[in-house]
Formats: sequence, structure tokens, C-alpha cells
Amino acid sequence: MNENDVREKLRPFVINELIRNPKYNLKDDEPLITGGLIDSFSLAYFGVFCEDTFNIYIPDTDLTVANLDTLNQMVDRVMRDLK
Amino acid sequence: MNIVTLSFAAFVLVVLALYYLLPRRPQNILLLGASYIFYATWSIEFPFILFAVTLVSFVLAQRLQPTETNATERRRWLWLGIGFNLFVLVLFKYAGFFVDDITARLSSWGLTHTEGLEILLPIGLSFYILQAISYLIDVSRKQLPASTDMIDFALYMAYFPKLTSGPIERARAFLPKLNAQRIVDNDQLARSFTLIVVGVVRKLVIADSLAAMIPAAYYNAPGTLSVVNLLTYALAYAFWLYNDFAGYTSVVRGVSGLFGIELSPNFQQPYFARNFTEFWNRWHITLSQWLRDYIYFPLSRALIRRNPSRWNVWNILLPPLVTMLLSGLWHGTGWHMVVWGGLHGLYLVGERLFGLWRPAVAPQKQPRWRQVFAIGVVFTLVVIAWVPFSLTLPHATEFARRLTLDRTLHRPSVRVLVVIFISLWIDWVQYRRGGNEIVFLRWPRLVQATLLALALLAIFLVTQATISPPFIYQGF
Repeated sequence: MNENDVREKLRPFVINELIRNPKYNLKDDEPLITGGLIDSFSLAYFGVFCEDTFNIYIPDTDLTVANLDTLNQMVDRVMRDLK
Repeated sequence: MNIVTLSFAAFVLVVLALYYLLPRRPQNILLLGASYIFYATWSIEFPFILFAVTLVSFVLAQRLQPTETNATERRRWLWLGIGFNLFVLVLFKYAGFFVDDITARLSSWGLTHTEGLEILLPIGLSFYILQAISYLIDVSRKQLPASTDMIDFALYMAYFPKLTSGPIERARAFLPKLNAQRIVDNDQLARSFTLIVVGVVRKLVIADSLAAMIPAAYYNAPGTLSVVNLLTYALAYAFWLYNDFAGYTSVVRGVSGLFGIELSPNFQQPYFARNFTEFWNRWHITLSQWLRDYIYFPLSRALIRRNPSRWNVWNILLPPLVTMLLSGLWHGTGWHMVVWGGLHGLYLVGERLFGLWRPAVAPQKQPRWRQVFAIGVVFTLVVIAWVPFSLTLPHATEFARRLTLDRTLHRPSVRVLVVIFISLWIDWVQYRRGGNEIVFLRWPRLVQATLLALALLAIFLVTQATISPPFIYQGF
């Protein structure tokens, strides 16, 4: 699975499940956590989504602003475990 | 040795003078020795408990290395380590609760010589126990290798600026700092000095003044006070607690900066939060993050794996409630702390339920009036929760009953409001610059000098008039 595949799976998940607005125009570098769009509850869902979809386990201590604030960072974090 | 005292300032100056005479490795040994001496000034027994916790955690972490043992055995060692740390915490922190009960029972049987039963709570225990547990869990999860350097690990546990009340550091972030190059240039000095001055103003001028203005009747007999006074003192308590702890954190971060070791921030203008998630990202940040990483996330993920529905009632209810109830228990024994934690858990549950019905909208993109309204609602509910936090349950009930019974109206204490205004002004200045704590350094030199002179004058006047009480969080 390459970076684009990961992005294409993550984008609809973030828009539909975490932001809950299918019409939302999400930018790749838009701050999601610091921007107040997603919270700890959403990050827990993100962790389980990655387990189910990419078969990777992102440790709880990695579910942070530093690692996952934007779609780009989420993709990077997933790719780190897929490589 | 209290942090905001001349004896602590002298202690820091002596350690700093020696520190800069030494190369890196002896610097760490010096800091470790200074930390144990500092801890012994509180009580000669405390360093022994700290050393025991440090030694056991250090040794057990070696057994958690993947090369050492198999997975089942590692899990056993991990639980042994967590169990040991929790045992020490319960023994010293919560045993007093049972000892009081046992002493009362023995007294009722005519046994009055129970002096040996008292258990002294070591200051800072609740903080360094959490550091030890997070270290063991992170090593078991292979997020960092077990430390092979006892000096560095002991310093992680004991480093004196953070020993009594945090910030609660993670070994993953803190240990590398002990071996990194430490740069203390003019910028770092200015930054550290600003943090210390802001912290001392928060503690001595704001927190201690507010503490002195709250009468004993607020804690012992709230039913005797008028509604206006009860509300004024509840507000005063909210700003006292905040400035006391934020002031402490600012001072110790400034002191640590003088040694070239950065400590994590703990507060970011929490009373300007627009929702409760934001509040807990701004209040006692290192504890919030600890609870999130080691309780909230594991519990949430386990529940979501069982049933991924967003509408599942257990997914919504359990993680925030359990996390906040444990936070309440961490702060102290007594049902009033459970009520405080339960209230915050319910606030978070309510916010989650409200959010499920509508798309997420960034708070800063909402109209200004809604943001101000949200800040007001969150602040009011937080102050309500501080009532059971500050009073025992019977007194909190008395407080609530008095609100419904008393109808007298009079002017609130102007002195309390003036001091609260100073606190809000500092927060507002920082908030406007994205939470920058040292925003004052950007101001013109003349303004900086005037502010510093005013701060020193205020500190001098306040310390002449009031006796500084100990930091509230030291008691936790």
C-alpha cells in the first residue's frame, strides 16, 4: 500500500466519521486537533481504524498532536509502520 | 524547603554555581545529589521512599526488555512493577484514611496510645509514582529501552525542580535531555527569568492574596455566609488554585531552564477554554496527558474494538467517567474528590453526546459571541465542580442549600475582584499571543522595566502583609 492509497482511505474516514460532515473540504495540512475539530475520543477511533484497515498498532502514547494533527501527519504515521 | 522562599533561591544559586564548574556527567550526579538533599529538607525519611521506588522500577524495567524474557513473563514483571508502585501510593496516600478509622475504633475501645500508627505522606509521591508507572509501561511497549544508567534514571525520578508537584515528565522525553547539549544563552536566561517572575507574581501576589481573603467559614461553615460572599469566595478559590499551581509550575520551569533542562508546560490559560476537552488540554496538562495515554485510550480502544458504534452507550460513558473518577481519587481521599471527578466525567460525557448530533466545528471558527458564551458556560461549570473539590461533602451540600435559601444582596468584595482581574489580565495577554507565556519579552524595554518594578513592589508589599501558605498541589 502506497502513500496515496493510505490517504484515500484516511480522508473519508476523517471527514465522515471524525468530523461527521461529508461535505467538509479537508486540506492535507489543516490542523485537526489543535484546530479543535477532533478530540481524544476521535483519536481512539483513529487508533482502532488503523488496526482494522492497515493492520498496524499505533501505541496510545503516539496518538498525539505532535504525530497526528493533520491528514499529512496521519498518513506519515501510518506509512512509518507499513514500511 | 518551599519553592518560593529565599532559602530555595539560595539553594538554587549554590547548585548553579557548582553545576557550571563541572562537565556533563558530574553535572547529572550533582543534580541528583542536590535533589535528594532538597527532598530531605522536607523530611529525612522521604529520600528513602523515593530511592526504594526508583531502585525497584529500575531493576524491574530490565526484566521488561524483549531480549531478557518472553512475552508472558514480561507481562508478569510489568504488573509486578505497576502493583508495587500502586501499593506504595496506596500505603502512604490512602492509608491515613484507614488509620483515622482504626484510631477512632481503638479509642472507642479505650486504647488511646496509637501514636505509632500515623503515616506521613511523602510530598511529591503521587507525581513520581506516575512517572515510574509510565516508564515501566513504555519500556514494556518497546517505546523506549530500559535505562542502563542508574544515575540518569534516578535523576528522572528525583530532579528537584519537578519533584514536589510535577510537571509529570515522561522518560521518553526527559532521559534524552540529560545527555543532550544544554544551551543556556542570553535568550534562555531571559526566558527563565520571565517564567520565574511571572510564577512568583502568580503565587505570592495573586494566589496568596486570594487565599488570605477567603475566610475559614467558607470551608467550615458555608451556611453562615451570604450568597454573594459564597459566590465571591468560590470564584476566589478557583483563581487561587489556578494561580497557586500555575505559579509553582512557572517558577520550577524557569529554575530548570537555568540548568538548561526544559520541563513540560502544565497550564495554558485554562479558564478561557471553550469546551471541556479544551479545558483538560489546558489544565494540569501533564496529568491530563498521563491519564489520557494510560487509562482513557486503552479503555476506549478496548471498548471500540468490542463495539465500534459511536452510539454505543459504554463507549460514550465509561472512558471519561472512569478516567475522571480516577483523577479525583489521585487528588485525594474522600467522597468529595469522587464527586469532583464524577462531575467532570459527566461534563465530558455531555459534551460527547451533544457532539454526536452535529458535525464538528472548530471553536475558533464559531461566531465571537458563541465563543464568549461557551467560555462562560465552561468556566461556571468548572467553578461549580471546585466546590466539592475544596469542601467536604457535608459542607458542599451546605453551600448548595445556602444558595437556594439566602436572599440577601450586597456588594461583593472589591479586593477579590481586583486580584482576579490581575490574573485574567496576565492570561489574556498570553492568550492573545497563542498562549505565549513569555510574551512580555516582546514588549519595549521601558514597559518591561516598569512591569518588573511593579511586580517587585507588589511582591514586597504582599509578603509583608500575608504569610505564604504551602502550594496546594504539594498536598496531593
